[in-house]
Amino acid sequence: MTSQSLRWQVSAQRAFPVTLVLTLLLAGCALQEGHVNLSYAPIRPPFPVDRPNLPPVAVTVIDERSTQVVGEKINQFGMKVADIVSDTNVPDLLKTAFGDDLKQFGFPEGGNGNTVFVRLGYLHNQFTIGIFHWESTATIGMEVSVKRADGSIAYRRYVIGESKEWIFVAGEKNAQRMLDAAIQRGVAKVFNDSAFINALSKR
Amino acid sequence: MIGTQLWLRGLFVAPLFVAASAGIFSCATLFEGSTQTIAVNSDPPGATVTFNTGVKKVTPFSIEVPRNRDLQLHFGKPGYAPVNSSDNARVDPLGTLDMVPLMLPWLVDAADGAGFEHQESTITAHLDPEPGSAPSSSKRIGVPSPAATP
Repeated sequence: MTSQSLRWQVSAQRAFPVTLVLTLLLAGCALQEGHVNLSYAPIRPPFPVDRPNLPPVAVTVIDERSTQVVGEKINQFGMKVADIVSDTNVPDLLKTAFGDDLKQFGFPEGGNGNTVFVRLGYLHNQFTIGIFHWESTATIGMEVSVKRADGSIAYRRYVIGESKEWIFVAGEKNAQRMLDAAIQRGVAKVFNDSAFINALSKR
Repeated sequence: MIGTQLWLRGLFVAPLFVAASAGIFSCATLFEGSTQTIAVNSDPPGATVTFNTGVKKVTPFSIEVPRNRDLQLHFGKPGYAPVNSSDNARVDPLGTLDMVPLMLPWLVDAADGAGFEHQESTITAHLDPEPGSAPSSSKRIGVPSPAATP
């Protein structure tokens, strides 16, 4: 073995652990489970609420999600490394969101009227990596229906709310922000649907 | 003198190594592409499927989806209880080849989504007739579904 090849071998042996350590550092191993606290800001109605004799409305939310995980942290290489879970009770949050917005739109809360059924299918945020930027996409999927007191369905629609942005940190804060926005957009879609308001306006 | 020669050699070898790594090992991008075809069926057929991407289609169908995007599907058919299903993206096992030369090729495959694959390439949902106001069933591919009814 020549002295030159020996030097190459020694250099490679020294470089390997350094490369390994650098790779692991770059991987940014965020292995701990993340937590988010979700919130909702009520919608301002697009018209003045001055409509007497609107029937009362009750809200029921059914959580059909198979998991409470609302996202996953990723490392620098785009690999999912840890779950993100919600500390907020999402069905309760949705019930409050619909209830508050219905009040804003002038509907009294109570039984013996129509019932808004919300079936929450999923609520999830996904981080993806790109060459120059990362992206966060949060989506909520829910079926919203209005049921009359006699049991007939007056309105039914499957709604998706999505929020998508470029980000620089794939952490809980961004996930929380995007999930909040997805919920806001999903609920807004329902209240912006005149068929939904019309269905609730009749008994 | 020998040290200078080695340094100069390294100066030429390093860019070649980086270029070769990106070119040879980003194999998922070259051979598999950034999308994947999945088949979606329902029993009975004719259910409207709404993806979390906003796409709506009627079963049975095949669709090209981004490899790196987690999918949520909602199956709906009048008279039947709706079904929710998911098909998440995971790292393609072949992508581990990318990790050999300093992870550089993986960054290419991960960025365009080619380094991922969907857990299921065929999704089939069974829809039960809706008995009055019975709540829908919930199903996640590969995960036992809990009873999620009030």
